[in-house]
Amino acid sequence: MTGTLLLEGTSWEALAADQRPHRLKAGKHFRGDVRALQGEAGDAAQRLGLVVRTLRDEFGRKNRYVWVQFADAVVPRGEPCPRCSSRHLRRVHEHYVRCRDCGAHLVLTPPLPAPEEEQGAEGSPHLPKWARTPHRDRLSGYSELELVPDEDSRIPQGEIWYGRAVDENGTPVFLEVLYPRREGQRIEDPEREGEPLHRVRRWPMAMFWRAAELGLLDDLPRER
Amino acid sequence: MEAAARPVELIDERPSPLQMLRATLRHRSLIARLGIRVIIKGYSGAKLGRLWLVLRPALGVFGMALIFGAVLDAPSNGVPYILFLLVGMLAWLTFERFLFWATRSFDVYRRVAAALDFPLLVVPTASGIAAGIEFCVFSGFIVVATTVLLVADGRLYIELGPELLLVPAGLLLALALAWGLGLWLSALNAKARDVRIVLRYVLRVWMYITPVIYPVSALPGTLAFLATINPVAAPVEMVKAGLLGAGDLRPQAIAVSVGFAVVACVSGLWFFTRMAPGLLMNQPAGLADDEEDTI
Repeated sequence: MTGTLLLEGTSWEALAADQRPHRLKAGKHFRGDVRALQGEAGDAAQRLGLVVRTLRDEFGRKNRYVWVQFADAVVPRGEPCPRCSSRHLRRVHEHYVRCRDCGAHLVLTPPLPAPEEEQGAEGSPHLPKWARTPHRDRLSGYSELELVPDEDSRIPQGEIWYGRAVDENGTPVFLEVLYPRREGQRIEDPEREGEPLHRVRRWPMAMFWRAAELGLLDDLPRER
Repeated sequence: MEAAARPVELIDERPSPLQMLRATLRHRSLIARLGIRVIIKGYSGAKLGRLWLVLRPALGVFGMALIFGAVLDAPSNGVPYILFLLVGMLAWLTFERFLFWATRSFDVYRRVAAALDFPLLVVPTASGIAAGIEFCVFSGFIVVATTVLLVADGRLYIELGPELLLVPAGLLLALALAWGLGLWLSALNAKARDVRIVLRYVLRVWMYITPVIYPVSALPGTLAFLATINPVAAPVEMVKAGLLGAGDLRPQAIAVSVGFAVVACVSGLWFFTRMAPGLLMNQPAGLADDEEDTI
């Protein structure tokens, strides 16, 4: 099959058909980079009108796996079924629900932000409050940017990137960048045409250097 | 307008034990994939890699054979001690490794189980695969030891008769005991890690009171009842009797073991099903994901 990282005998359509978890092994089910495969899974889900959760499972150089599970759609907590608008959902897992009426398999996400009172006052009324703040932090304010996507956190409503840069005062900083997505696509910044809407959070890099010097990052528990 | 204001009803689905069992059977392909993962991951950082899968038990058995066979001259019902020990360990480890991995299963597979939607009963059940791999390694040791002894003594110590049917029966009994207890302990350990810490010592003592390294006949009169009330003793003796003709088959012991296995499986399934909805939430603090420090 051309244009896909999946090897012969495996297809996104087949993996999506039963909506069960599948473990894909590098070299056996797919070729190339694990992160690229996660991206391809996201694209395949969009093409098929579904959503997908992927999970990297790597130990050593030889053992590279990706778990994938497709679902019908995403439903923020408190919202009705996006397929049939039913308000009766059965939680089958901490992060998954099933619609009682149409049987849709849905990924449960955090609730949507409360609607703002002053809709339409600034920017789009459908954007979160922080996105409508005029003087918010933007990536264009930084130099020497190096960003890496956090593929595990990629969901249809957003994607997170982490990285480092130098801020307007010349201070090295650690960054977390959130790109909200709507219908699987990044949202255009209402104030800057052609640029994706994003939120930047930053911390002085000196804080992490000091933490490393003090040994606080050694044997860091992987539990968040 | 009214319909839009109505809150969304989010009901926690609580499947019955039978429904959970059926759902697990539908996801049975996951059992092997998750089960083998712990073995691959456990040895992935080691220079000798999966060779440790053979070396580790080999070193353990060599040490035990040296201490109990050569130094302490433990009795073995007329069978060479190394073979007696290997067969006893085969049955014991089928139980012990399954229970060990099942208890730790939510430590090991929590990240996968939290991200993907599949019946949680798959998680402790998958531990049987890791135990099965170690079972295969031990079976290999028995084949090698039998061959060496056949060449050295000119005698085949393995019984090739209908008694061999006792072997799968004994192993099935050991698996059922481990699965039933494993369901209890995996759910409890997901809430409090103390369980796995205590289990390590309990299993060590349990092995010594089970006739693994000695025959039942070696137990003094006052302790002989242990071979009857210890539910793991019967499967161990069944495997020894089936393979070597050197087991002590007591109907009461087998009845106790079967009864215990049935109660453990039924109550374990009931308990696990009740606990399942909350197993991935409120994890104990400081729990490192995917810990495989002890293989």
